[in-house]
Amino acid sequence: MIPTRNAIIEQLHQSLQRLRGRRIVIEMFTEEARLVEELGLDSLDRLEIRFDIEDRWKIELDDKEAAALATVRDVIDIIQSKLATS
Amino acid sequence: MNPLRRVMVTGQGAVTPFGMGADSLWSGVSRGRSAVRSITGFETTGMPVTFAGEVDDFDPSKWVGRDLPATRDKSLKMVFVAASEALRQAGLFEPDQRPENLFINTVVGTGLGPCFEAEYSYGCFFTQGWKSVRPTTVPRSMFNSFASQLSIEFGLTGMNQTVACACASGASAIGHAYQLIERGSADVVLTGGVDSPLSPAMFAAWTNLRVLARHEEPERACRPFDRDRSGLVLGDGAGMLVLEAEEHALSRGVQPLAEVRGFGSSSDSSHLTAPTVDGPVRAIRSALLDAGLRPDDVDYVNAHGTATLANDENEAHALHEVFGRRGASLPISSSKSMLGHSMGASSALEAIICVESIRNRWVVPTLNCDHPEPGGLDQDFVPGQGRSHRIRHAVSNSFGFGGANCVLVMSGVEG
Repeated sequence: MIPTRNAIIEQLHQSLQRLRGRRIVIEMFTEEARLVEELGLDSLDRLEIRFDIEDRWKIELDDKEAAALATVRDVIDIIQSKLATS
Repeated sequence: MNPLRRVMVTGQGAVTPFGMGADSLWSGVSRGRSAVRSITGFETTGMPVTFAGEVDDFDPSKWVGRDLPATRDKSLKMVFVAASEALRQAGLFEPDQRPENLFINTVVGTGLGPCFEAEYSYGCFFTQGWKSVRPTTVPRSMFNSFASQLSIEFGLTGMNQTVACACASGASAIGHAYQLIERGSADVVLTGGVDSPLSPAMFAAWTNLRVLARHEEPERACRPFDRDRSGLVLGDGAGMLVLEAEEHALSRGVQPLAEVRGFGSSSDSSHLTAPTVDGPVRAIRSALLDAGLRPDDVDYVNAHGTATLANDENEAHALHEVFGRRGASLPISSSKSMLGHSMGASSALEAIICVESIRNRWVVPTLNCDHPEPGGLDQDFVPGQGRSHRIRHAVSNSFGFGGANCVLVMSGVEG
């Protein structure tokens, strides 16, 4: 089953909250939000978030796909497209 | 060669089962309170030992006054808070200011490292397989992550080092920092020790080593130098100090709290866990020689005093060999009787206790030392209650598994 865009945003939100160890307002997670510049993910954060995505949705991202993720929308799109073709 | 420089303590910070801050540590130990109680952080049902000097989980950001990286590792949380307190007292940290690039060196002692992180990841591996191991396990569980995280969060750009020699790690780190400053290789060093042996598997490992005290009443379990002692009690802790060259502190207008006057170290070269008398004797003598003091100049000994059968007997004999029959003129006490044994943090906390003992002219007691032993050595273990006592020079003993003996001499500012 393909998750909704909101379900994916919720998962990203929970992952980042766990990483930061504090509450983060979900409104930050607009589809346009940039992972590095706006959500503040550094290289280690991106590894952790990628780990959570693969674990939660049972997909695998290769290094090129993971490196190309720039916005929340990119994350949603790649998860949905991977699950649509699997 | 340039003359050796005096090394002063200009800041100190602590997290202990008594709470946050060096003040709460001093308040607890000077009054002879026990911080040992039932463990609540993990399930101990069915285990033969269910108590420790535990620090409850907490949010370090709240205490430091600024957002810090999230971590599940209690040791990292504790060392953040202890370091911020020490830096703040030394006038080197303001929570609402961005960290400047301070040329401060960092030397941290730890016997166990970030074992909560390591344990969590190994748990994932063994229950769910290799794919479940978090991708940041390596940087989070390496021993130098404490020192590195401190340098990142507090803007410390000098050398960054981690010292591991079990229960003597904190004293070893402080001794190394002292030597760096004394010999002109550094002006300011943030140093100390941190450990939490209270992660579930680590606690099980200590339990099965069969050196933990067993007792009906947790607060009476740790009985250093007592006839009925049955082993050590584990504890959590972080103790951090800012050491600084005297002229550097004075030029900044910072009032020193005490002096690190000497350091001595030796190896038993004998056995991983069975201590010797000779190793500690050589370390104490070497520390006194380094301090330029005679045994009779020493007014107080903060003992290693773990309350294991072997340690206390050996340590008492080592002290007798160095100091002879001093009786009440040389109080000897074990603050582990109140705090438990926080591994690499213990010796750093004990250095802080020595600083406060000197400043307050007060020796802390050895709790539960109802029947002092060994007898016949005419030693004063300050049983039960602390007391007023003028201290110019204090010796702090720390002996680690592996046979590492580290001894600090702490002195009053007046010298």
